[in-house]
Amino acid sequence: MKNIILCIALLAASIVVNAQQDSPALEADQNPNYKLSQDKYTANIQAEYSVLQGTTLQETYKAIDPLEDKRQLKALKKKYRAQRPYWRQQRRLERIRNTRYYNYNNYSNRNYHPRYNNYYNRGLYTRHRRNIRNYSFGYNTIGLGLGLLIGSTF
Amino acid sequence: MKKSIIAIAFCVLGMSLVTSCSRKVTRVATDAQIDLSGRWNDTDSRLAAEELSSQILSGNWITDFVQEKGKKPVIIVCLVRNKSHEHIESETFIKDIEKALISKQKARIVQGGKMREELRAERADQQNNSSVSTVKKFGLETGADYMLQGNINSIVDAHKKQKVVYYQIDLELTHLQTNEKVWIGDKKIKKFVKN
Repeated sequence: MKNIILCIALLAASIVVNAQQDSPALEADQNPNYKLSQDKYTANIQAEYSVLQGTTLQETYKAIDPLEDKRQLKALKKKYRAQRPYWRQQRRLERIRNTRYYNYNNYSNRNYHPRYNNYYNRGLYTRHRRNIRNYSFGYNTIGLGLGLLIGSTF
Repeated sequence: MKKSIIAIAFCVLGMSLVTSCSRKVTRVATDAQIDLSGRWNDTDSRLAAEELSSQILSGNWITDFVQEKGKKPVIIVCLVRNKSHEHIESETFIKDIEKALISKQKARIVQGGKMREELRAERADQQNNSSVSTVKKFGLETGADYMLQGNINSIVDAHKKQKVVYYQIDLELTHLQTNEKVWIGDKKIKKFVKN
C-alpha cells in the first residue's frame, strides 16, 4: 500500500515538474495570462495578415468630382454604343429561334376565327417575317368576313 | 504629265498622313516630371520615397536602438492601406525606403508576405532534395524588432474645371514587443489641376 502511494506521489511530482519545464518562465513584469492571447493569435496568423505583408490594401473611395463623373458617363455611353450591334444581332437570333411556324395551307378553323388570328398574329411571332404576316392578314380578312356572314345568318 | 504630277502629289499626301498618325515613343529620364492627367504618378511616388527615406534615416530611433541593444534594428514591412480616391501602389516607394535603409547600413530588413512563404517552401524542399551540408534549417529566421505600417489618404476639392488634390502618406514604425511607435513619417503632396 505504501509503495502504491509512493508511486502515485512520484508520478504527480514528475507531471508537475514536466509542466513547469514545458511552460517557459515569465519575464520580468510579463502578464501571467499571456498564453491566452498567444494561443488566440497564433491560431490564425498564416491566413490573416502574414500573406498580406508588404502589399497595399486598396480601400479607395469615390471622390466628388463632377468633371470626372461626366467623363466616366461618356466612356460608359461609348462602350454601350459599341455593343449595340452585337445586342441587335443577338436579339435577331433570339427572335429567329423563338419563331412559331404554321402550316398555312391547312385551312383549319382557327384561320377563320378572329380571336385566334389576332393572338397568333401579334408582333413578337410574325413582325420579322413580313411575308407570313401578310398571308395571315389576308386569311384574317377572309376569316372575319366569313365569320360575320355566318354570324349574321344565325 | 499632268496625271503623273497628280499621282506624285497623292503619294506625298498619303505618306505625310501615314507618318503623322504613327505612334512615336521616346525614352526619357526616370526623374523627369511629366504630368498628364493630374492623377498620382511616378513623380509623386519618387517624391514620397525621397522624403520618407530621408526622414526614416535621420530619425533618432536608430541611434536609440543601437545604443540600447548594440546591434542594428530589424524591420519588417507590413500592410499599407490606400484610403485615397485613386489606385496607388505603395510598393513603388516602399521599396525605395527599404533600399535606402539597406544601402546606408542603418537597419536590416526581413522578408515578409508571400515572398517569405516562397522562402519557407524552398527551405522545406531543401529538407528532402539538398545535400546535408547545404540544407538550411527551420526555426533560425531573424525576428523583426520593428514593423513598418502605413496609410495613404487623399482629399479632393473640385469645382467646374478646377481641382485641388491633396495626398498624405503616413508611415509608422512600431516596436513589436512593446507596440511603441518609435517613428512617424509623412509626405504631403498638393496638386492644382486645371482642365
